[in-house]
Amino acid sequence: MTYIGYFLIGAGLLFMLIGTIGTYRFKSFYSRILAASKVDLVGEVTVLFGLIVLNGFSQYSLKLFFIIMLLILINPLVSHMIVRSAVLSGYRARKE
Amino acid sequence: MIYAVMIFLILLSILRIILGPSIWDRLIGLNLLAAKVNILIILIAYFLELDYILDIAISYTLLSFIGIIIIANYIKRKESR
Repeated sequence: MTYIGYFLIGAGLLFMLIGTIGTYRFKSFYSRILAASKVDLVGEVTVLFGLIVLNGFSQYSLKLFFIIMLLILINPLVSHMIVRSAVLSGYRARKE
Repeated sequence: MIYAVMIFLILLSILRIILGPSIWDRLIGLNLLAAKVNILIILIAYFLELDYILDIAISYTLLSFIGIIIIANYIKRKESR
């Protein structure tokens, strides 16, 4: 069980690293928000799921499950609000 | 090791905030930074075995959500002219 938990935490850290480097590799704003929202959310959820596997059934795992549900609900909302604010303000993507 | 990787990711997010060309890029960086600080709080709560820090993580998630949405609305009114 311990090896599975640490493997999940390592995979989540790798996903978060890929998502953060993706915001540097993409050149325009609207493709940056793709890497920032999707890949990063997958990394966070994987790290928290690894912690649940490490800890077993307890009150701690229930709180972690609550945080996972909160992140899945909140993170797309925040990305949508940022892009909506940029579109309504007339921000155009730069031509490459 | 895990702490070192998390602190490296936090520094990368802060660099995104510093050199983002437009203000919405800085807002993306703020979103990334809030999520990574949240994960770091949860990891510290696990490895030091302090259960009550998880409540701080829950309230930090909600506060960053409300803060980023209010900043996005404020910028939208400011820049639309």
